[in-house]
Amino acid sequence: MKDSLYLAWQYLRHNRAKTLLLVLSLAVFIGLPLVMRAMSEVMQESLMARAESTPLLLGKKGSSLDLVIEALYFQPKGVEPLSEAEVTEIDATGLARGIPLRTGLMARGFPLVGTSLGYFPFRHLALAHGRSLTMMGECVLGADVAASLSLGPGDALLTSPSTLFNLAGVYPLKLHIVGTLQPTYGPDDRAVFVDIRTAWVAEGLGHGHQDLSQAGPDVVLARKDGGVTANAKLVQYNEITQDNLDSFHFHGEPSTYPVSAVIAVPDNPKAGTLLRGRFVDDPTRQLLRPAGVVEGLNQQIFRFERILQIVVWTVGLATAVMFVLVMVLSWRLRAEELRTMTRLGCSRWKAGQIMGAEIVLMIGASVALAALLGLLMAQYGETALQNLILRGS
Amino acid sequence: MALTLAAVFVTTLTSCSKKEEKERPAPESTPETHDALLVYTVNYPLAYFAQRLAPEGVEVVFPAPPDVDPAFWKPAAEEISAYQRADLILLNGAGYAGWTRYATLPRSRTVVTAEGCREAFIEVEDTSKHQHGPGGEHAHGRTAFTTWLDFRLTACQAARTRDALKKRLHAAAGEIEKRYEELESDLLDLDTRLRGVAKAWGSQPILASHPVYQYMADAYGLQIASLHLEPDQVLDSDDLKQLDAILAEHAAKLMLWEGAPLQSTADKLRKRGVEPLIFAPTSQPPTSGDFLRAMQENVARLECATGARECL
Amino acid sequence: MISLRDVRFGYPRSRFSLRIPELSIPVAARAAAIGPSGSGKTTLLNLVSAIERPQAGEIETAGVRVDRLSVSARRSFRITTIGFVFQDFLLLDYLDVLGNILYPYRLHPDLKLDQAARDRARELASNLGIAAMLERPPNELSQGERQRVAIARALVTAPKLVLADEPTGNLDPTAKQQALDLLFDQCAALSMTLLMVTHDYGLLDRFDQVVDLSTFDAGTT
Repeated sequence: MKDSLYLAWQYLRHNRAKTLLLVLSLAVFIGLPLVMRAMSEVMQESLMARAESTPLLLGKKGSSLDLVIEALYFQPKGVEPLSEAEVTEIDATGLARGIPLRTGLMARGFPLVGTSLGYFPFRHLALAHGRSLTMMGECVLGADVAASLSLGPGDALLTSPSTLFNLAGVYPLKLHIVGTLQPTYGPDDRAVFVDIRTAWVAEGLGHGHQDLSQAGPDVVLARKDGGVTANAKLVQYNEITQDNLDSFHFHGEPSTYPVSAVIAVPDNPKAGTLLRGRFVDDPTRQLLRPAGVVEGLNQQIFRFERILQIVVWTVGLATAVMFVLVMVLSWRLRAEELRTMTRLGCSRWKAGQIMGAEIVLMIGASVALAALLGLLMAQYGETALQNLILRGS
Repeated sequence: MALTLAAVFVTTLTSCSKKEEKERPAPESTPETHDALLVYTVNYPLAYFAQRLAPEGVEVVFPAPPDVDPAFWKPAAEEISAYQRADLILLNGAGYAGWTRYATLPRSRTVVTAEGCREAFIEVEDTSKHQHGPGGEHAHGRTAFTTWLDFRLTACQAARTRDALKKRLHAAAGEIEKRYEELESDLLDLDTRLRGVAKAWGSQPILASHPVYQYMADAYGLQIASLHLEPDQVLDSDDLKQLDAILAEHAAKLMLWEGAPLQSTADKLRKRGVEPLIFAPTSQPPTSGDFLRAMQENVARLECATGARECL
Repeated sequence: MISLRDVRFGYPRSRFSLRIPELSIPVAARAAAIGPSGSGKTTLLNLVSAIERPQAGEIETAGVRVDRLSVSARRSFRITTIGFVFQDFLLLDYLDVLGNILYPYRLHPDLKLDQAARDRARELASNLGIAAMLERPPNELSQGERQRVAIARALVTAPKLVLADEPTGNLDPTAKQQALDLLFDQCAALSMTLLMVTHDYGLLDRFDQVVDLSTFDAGTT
């Protein structure tokens, strides 16, 4: 066997290009269906785990899938917002507590999530470094955000200028990082968490500016009847600090401010049922069970995966046939070598062993490569696959 | 055989790496487990209510430094974190303690005691309206926040405190209710007495050193006009000009002070026919006694000054 | 060493036939097989080396009745007893020179590739003047050098009989003489019997025995 492997190895090494092509094809044929199945299962489990851990979700009537994707996975879907008053409404029922979510904004490519302090224990988010939010203008980073941007407590992070909510555009807001979270291997790792009021400031609903009573003539356009009109030179603060905190304010009634969704955490299952009953006939809002919505999504993923598996297996079969054909043709081309072996006295069994050794080595290399592919997919594939499916849905 | 091994290997790889790392440590963001219920408040009156209503074993904390007006205190991050760790946070409402506007406090453990106790809080408009950008003209309105000087409103705040404590201490609900009835009785007694003051004084004007008596004025029909004077501050010529101007339109014979004014101030007031009178809002603990005693003394002084009661 | 008696052979579905009433080549002899094309020279080598089996007659090679052996026994006999030198050398490009020399050891479990075999290979390479090329692939060598590798491969298993089918056919005259000298020297040194097919009548006086296949009843009818 050693001699057969030696001869096979020498031959494969000498014909690198052909060997590599065959090994790659086989690796894909072997690895892809298995990895796809494994990844799909892992992804469905993780989607469902996230959904099951969210008892009820309140949002505006519309696509339930979009609402779930935006609220649970922070992929902006442009859902119509509720208002802050609806969070209070949930609290006031006495049946559940409401956790507001404001999504849609980004910070350096990561979703900015405005929420309340209750979100962190609800999602079992633990601090890795620093502390939790204590005031507006601060942010806490998910583990992946901190790692990929190499940021931590004491650093700053700018929100991305957005025209999503304000056609005129909003200035980026400089956030102060006060903490980073431990990894959870879920969407929370890739989010930047702020107090919901900070999110409102970031989207232009609140602001801080220099004291107009102290402003000079270069800033003031007119003073009349106790009123002051300022021009564009008025300094608007793009970060919230201890010094300018008092100047930050919101116009209008805060209870009307937008909330993308409200996570309702019922006190007990009966309270959850009663709460759902209150929204059954609501014409403008929906209170749904995310697990039910994700189950539907998973069924679609399963159907899609089955089709993909058929395609992959068909291609794989063609690959296997091609492999066999290449091997047969290769040995035909080496007919003289075979004849020489026979003439020298090589036994039939040995000749078969030598030919088989080439196949064994190639399959072995393919399996190893498929395993490597599996490792890579395990590392990066779940997130990539999840993003692909959530963005495309 | 090779394919089977490959399947096992790849599947194990993909699940193992996640399973090992998914064990999560206990969250740090939940409040520490306390043996006693921990209550934090933003001013002394609320701390007093909580202490009076809560059964044994409840810890009430009002952490603002004694030399700072709690309404304008700006706690540091560590102090806000301490609030976050409380089981119950009692806020006043009506814009009191401006720091709560920007601080991140746990919604489910925070109670705004004055909310719902009044149809609308009293707005004190900032005199300067301004306009910038497309938003149009607006003013940064300020709400009057010394709500506990309207004793019916105060009783309502105490009731909200009671409800919050009962929700968290089911076993002691009866005891809390009993304590509330006693507190309510004390507060309504003060209310009755102030109504007596209003009846005796009628529509005669009163001055106030600071605009902190709006709820008292509104609830009891007192005509109070306010200045911005400090008890430990010597009145300068501008102050006196302001005083005289206001006296010209609002000929008060009484002036309410948060603390004892300087003798020179008192003399100048008396020269103008105005008698200074201490009515301490007691947003911080008094040097002696408690909130109820301080209010009883405030009301007693007012009763005497207005003739609502015969005093020696 | 070699003895054929009343041998009759024909390829299936072919009109070629060969009859050898009697042929004998003694041990350690240097014998040449000559004859016109199609006279059966290569067939003679195939019969002697048990690659082909006669339809009739007896063939004894190195004391073994090869006409009676089974297929596997014939292969085993060949690899342990006979060394081959082919006209086109038939070296493997994916093995280096040493690998090519030791190639027979990898083809049959009856041959053990041990240190003695490796030493023998290196000694042969040294005797044949190719010791410095052991790690080079055959396609980097000249024709003469490749032929010497083929000779080394044929001799490395210390066979009793060396069969060479026009081994110098592709060499220039100088290389041809050198190759023959080396082959004859090595065979003599190792007491091997040599049977060589050749078209070159000018070399015949260097052989102990000449087998003229034109004297046998052979050819296509």
